[in-house]
Amino acid sequence: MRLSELKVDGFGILSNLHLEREDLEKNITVIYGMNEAGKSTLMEFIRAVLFGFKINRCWREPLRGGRLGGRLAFMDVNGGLFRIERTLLGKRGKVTVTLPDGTAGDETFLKERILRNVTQLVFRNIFAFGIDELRCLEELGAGEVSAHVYGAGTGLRADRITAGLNHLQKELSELFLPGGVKPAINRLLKELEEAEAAIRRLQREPGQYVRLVREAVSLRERRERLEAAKRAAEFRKRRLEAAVRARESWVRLKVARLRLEGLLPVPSFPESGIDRLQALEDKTRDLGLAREETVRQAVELQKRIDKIEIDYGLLEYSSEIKALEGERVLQLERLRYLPEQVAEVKHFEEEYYKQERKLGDNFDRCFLESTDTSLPAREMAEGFKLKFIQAEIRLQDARGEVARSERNVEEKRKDLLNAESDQAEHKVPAPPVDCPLATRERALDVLDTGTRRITLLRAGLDQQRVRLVELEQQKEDFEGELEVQQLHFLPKWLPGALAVVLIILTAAAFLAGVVPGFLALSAGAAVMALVLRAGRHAAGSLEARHSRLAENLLNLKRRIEDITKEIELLTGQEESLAEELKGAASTALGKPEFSEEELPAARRALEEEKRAVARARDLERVVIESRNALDVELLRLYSENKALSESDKVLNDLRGEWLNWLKERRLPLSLKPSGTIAYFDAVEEAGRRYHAWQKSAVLERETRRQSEVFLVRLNDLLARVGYEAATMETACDRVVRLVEMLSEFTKLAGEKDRRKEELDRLRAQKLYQENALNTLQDEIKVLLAEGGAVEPEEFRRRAALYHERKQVAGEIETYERDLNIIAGSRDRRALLDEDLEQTEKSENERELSGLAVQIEETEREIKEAGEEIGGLDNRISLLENGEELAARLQEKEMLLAALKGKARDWQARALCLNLLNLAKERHERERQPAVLRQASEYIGPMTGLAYHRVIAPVGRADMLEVETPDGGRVAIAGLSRGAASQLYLSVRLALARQYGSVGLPVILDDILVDFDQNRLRGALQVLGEYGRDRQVILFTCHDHILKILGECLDNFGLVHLQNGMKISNRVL
Amino acid sequence: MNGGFTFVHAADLHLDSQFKGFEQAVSTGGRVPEEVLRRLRNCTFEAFDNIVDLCIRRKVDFLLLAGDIYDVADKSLRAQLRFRDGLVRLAEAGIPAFVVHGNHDHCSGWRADLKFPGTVHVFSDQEVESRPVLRSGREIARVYGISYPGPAVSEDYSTRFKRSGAPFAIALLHCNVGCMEGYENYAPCRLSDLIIKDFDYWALGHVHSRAILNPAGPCVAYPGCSQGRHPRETGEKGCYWVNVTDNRSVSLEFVPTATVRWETVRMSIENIANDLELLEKLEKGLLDLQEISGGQPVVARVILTGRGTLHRNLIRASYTENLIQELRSRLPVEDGNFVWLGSTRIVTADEVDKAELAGDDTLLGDLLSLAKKARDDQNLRTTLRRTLANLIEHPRIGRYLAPPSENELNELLEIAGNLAVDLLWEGDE
Repeated sequence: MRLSELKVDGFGILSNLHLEREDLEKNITVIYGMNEAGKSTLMEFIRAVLFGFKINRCWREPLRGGRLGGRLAFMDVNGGLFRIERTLLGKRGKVTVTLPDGTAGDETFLKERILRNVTQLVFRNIFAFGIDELRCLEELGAGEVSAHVYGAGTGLRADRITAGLNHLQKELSELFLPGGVKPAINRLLKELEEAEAAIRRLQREPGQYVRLVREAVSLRERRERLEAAKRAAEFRKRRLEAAVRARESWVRLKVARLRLEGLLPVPSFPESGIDRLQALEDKTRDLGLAREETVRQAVELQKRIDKIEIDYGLLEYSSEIKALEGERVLQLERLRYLPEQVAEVKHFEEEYYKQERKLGDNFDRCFLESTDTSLPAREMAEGFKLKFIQAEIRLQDARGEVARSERNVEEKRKDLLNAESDQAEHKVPAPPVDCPLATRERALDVLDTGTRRITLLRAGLDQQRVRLVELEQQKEDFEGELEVQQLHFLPKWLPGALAVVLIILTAAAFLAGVVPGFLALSAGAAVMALVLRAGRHAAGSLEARHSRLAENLLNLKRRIEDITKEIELLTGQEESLAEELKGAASTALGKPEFSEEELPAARRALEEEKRAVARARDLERVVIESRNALDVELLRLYSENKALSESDKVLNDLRGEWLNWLKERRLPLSLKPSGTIAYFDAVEEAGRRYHAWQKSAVLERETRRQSEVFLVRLNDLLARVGYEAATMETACDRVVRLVEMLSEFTKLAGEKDRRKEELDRLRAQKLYQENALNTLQDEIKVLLAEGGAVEPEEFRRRAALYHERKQVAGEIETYERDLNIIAGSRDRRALLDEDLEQTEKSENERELSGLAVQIEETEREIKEAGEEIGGLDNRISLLENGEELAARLQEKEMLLAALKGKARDWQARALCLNLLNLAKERHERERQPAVLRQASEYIGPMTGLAYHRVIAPVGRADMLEVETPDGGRVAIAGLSRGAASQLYLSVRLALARQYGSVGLPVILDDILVDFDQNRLRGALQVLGEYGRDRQVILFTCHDHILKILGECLDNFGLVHLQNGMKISNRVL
Repeated sequence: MNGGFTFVHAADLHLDSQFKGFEQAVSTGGRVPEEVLRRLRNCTFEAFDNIVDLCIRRKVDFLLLAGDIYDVADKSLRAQLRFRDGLVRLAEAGIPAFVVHGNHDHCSGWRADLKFPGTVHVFSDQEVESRPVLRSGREIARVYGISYPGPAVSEDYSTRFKRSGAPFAIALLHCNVGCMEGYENYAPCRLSDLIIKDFDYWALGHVHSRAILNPAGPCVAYPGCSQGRHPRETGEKGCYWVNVTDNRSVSLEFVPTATVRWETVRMSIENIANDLELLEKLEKGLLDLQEISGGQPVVARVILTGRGTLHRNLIRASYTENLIQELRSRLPVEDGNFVWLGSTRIVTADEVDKAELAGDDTLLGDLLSLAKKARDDQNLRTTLRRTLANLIEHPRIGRYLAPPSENELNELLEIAGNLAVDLLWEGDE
């Protein structure tokens, strides 16, 4: 669609301006005029007619008459003319669109069919813009334009990419910075290095350990030397101390030895001779006195023995008396318990008869033995009891089951009657066609889908037919244009005719004169040459145009053929589908013709029929199920009745068996199985009572017999010793008396025997004492002889001499022993004697004090060495057992693990960032939007190949860049004013091309002013090419632009505006 | 040979070595309890004590230690003293010990001037030595061995071993048989070469997972390390108790010696609806470890995988730290039988299908396809590796970090792709 006519009634300075079809028929039309000629107003007028009068919030009131408004006429490819007229009415004005067929359209028609929903903003940025709009790139960021330039391709929101990049950068810098301190890896590195330093220090410990061990060994050796010196000093000290201590004993020893030499020798003397002599003399005296006492005691004792009297007859029966005494207590017990035993016999007898009566009158004592109450008999009775219980339970259960089955049969019979009643009442509606339900449903589905499909097919067919008509119209237009082109060719006869005319004129001039003849010849030749050149030039242009038109016409014919085939195909499909629908309608509705409105009703009826059929099937199934259930219950009732009669028979059989068992065991026939165990218990209890009675009677008889035997034995004894007989009542007292008498006589007999023995002993003692006196006399004599004396006095003198010598020798021995003790050993004793002989006491004391100081000093040194050794041992122990190194190594490993973890995080993020940048670069290079690819085609020629690509950096929705052939990129901010304008123009032209369906011209209001001559040429060449596909209207006030335009383009329209008026119209 | 005999074969004690991959929660200031740390510091010693106890309890004839007694060549004093103490206990029980040193504790390192009992023989690092094992004055076996002179031995030491009329010949060697992956290829040798060497038992060390390479005989065995010290050294660790019968047939019994176990809880976040459910599932998983370990202390690593809604939370460091702290507070630490959450690894992803996204013409699709391409394109890998130079080649940090291996780079690329999805994918917004 192109602008073919413009008529301004009144708009600003424009009034009654009319650009006609011939003014705007070229691909490029230049509207030339000085400042204030009305160019910008004219562009505003175009915007106002298309989008309303309110432009930039102000009215363009007509200044030079006329009504506000005017009209535009657009011609489509088929030559159809759409007139758009806007007059003042309301804020936007009233628009009227007149279609080629004369019908009218409104604002909506204008917006949708002519403007194709292009907004005013888009129009101002892409289709009609001046230098101000050209340089406002921000406008391109708005709405759909932005999507064309930036949005397509990345699949992401630009802010998302930027946010992602920023996030990665932030994380990377939080993890690691080459010279940083705070990031995690830097902190870990610092801690790791500190740990390593500590480890290095601790790893030097082994060397320290060896040094310490050596020091400890050296110190121990020194301590041993000191201890040896100390021991030597102490030894010397001990020798000196011994000499000091021994000196007194040593002097006394020497004195004692001199005394011993002065005493007479007594070679031997009985040991303790004096004491022994004295003792012998004392013993002799004592023994004499004792012998006299023994004689006196013997006489006294004999007198006492003679006074004692004893009845030996009673003592002879002492064993029998003791036996009776032993039995006496028992006899007393017998006499006391005999009445109780009599009473007990009577009690047990009564108990037995009471139990016998409980067992019945017929029960006899002989039944106690004959009745079998053993465990097998009890188990059998218990078995009978259980069998009776089970049989009765089974009988009861069978009766219950029969009753329950009878109730079930009744319920099932009622269910069957109800189901048959429901089935009889249910009716299924009659179908419209005698055809299976599923077939009709499938046919109805075919009708549903087929109706939609055929509607779509018909719509497509209509569209294709309209398209065909449009193409046919275009074809006619092209053919008409082709014919017009042919008409514009110069007639072949024209050069010939012109030559003839010139020859005639030249001949006439020669006839008038030679000079005029030659002048006329020259002029004629020149005119001829000009005409021929102009003819060749016009022929070339027309030929090119003709070939393009022919090519377009050929393409158009091919498309017409394609659409014709498509229409035929669609028509065929429509017919076959219609046939199919007819068949389906016959099946589903019973008639081939149908309307779309009938289908829902048919669908509802079908659904209703489906539900009714399903309900009928359900009811039939219920009847069958109820009948089957009744049969099952009747069968069950029959079997339950049979089970009841069997249970009854079993119970009767069991009763007969029970009576037989009672008879066999001679048990009462009236006994019940449940009472049998109690009967057995009662029989056993009667047996126990009978035995108790018999046992108590035996005991009572035995007690009575033993009492009588006791009395007989007692009286027999009394008769033998000569006493009178006892009765049953006095028997026990008599036994007590006999025992007392026996005890007294026994004691007297013992006393008499003891005294006789004492008397015998005294007689033997007297004899022994006399012998001892003789022995002592002999011993005294022997002792005196041993002491070299005859008389005791002489013996005592020799004893005194002997003891003095012995005392002095003892003293010598004591001193010797003292000295040996002080010396400590035999060897040291020699040294001690030597010291005592050779030194004086004062010398010893001096040396001793010196040694004490020396020992003290040595001890101090030993102690110091010990402390040092202890300190070293502690340090060695710490080194041996210390865990600090291990702990530090552990810490290092943990830090290392953490560092590696963080490094891994950093590396992953660094790779992610790098991949993102690579993807961005690739995306910018390979996946730019079509608009930018198109703009890249314009920017090269427009900038003399200084730039060859327009790029929208990924992640930025607000900037563009251009790329130089060597890959360098320059953002808009880095471009010169002119280059920036060329970039913007390229992008806008590309954008306008992107709106392929919009047939509006591109109107440029003096946007080439910043271009240098070369780039201006480039830009105009681009516009020339661009104009082949879309009408371009260029406003300018610059002659140089016009001039270069004339040089670059061979065909464009020119309209000269001046002061709001068209003043000429020419074609270059 | 008269009568059978028994011995214990252990290796890779790594005494006094510190646990790797065990993190303090630095960012939140969370500290590991000292009793846990102390237990971890001492567990290599406890494992060695368990080996000594085993020898004494079962009255074995001798002990073999196949290298890497210590973790570093410059052994700590503490480690040497504890080692000596163990050997003294063995000597008191009349059990000889045969020791070779490996790449970690090679002979050129420092050692304290400690005197080992006479029943201990440490093999030379110059040549293969042999020592008889005597019982009642009669030789029952002969042990051949050689130690490492330095940290790396590239020679196949097995070629130096030659049997010389022993009733039962045992080769004690620290080596890598068949170039096992994950271990330095020191003293490399082939299993087939060992088998034909006419030795009855190859007591090997160096590989930390136990393995009997030739059960059919002659037995070639790695007992593995006596105590796991790394998140990847999971499960039971210990030594072999070897019984040799009168007819030279060999049977091995693995005896656990480790006192602390490393375990891993791997859990997918798929179908986990909320934080509480995740917390409870992780707690249960961690507590179950105590049962698996028979009540032994456990240091656990949690690896979260899969796609799910919780991923958006898990990628936040603060969220993960809080999760760890909460889990640690729920786990038992007292009485020495602790379960300690040592570290976590988040390899979850958003619910989006990255492969599908990579097929899009969007910027994110381009990024993901680049990340995918980088797995095979060496030029692109080189470019991306240069990105990491700021950190890896940093003069101070570079000492602690190595450039990522090819596999690690692939993992990093995977994480980078996930990050990009987290940052850029708008989903159904």
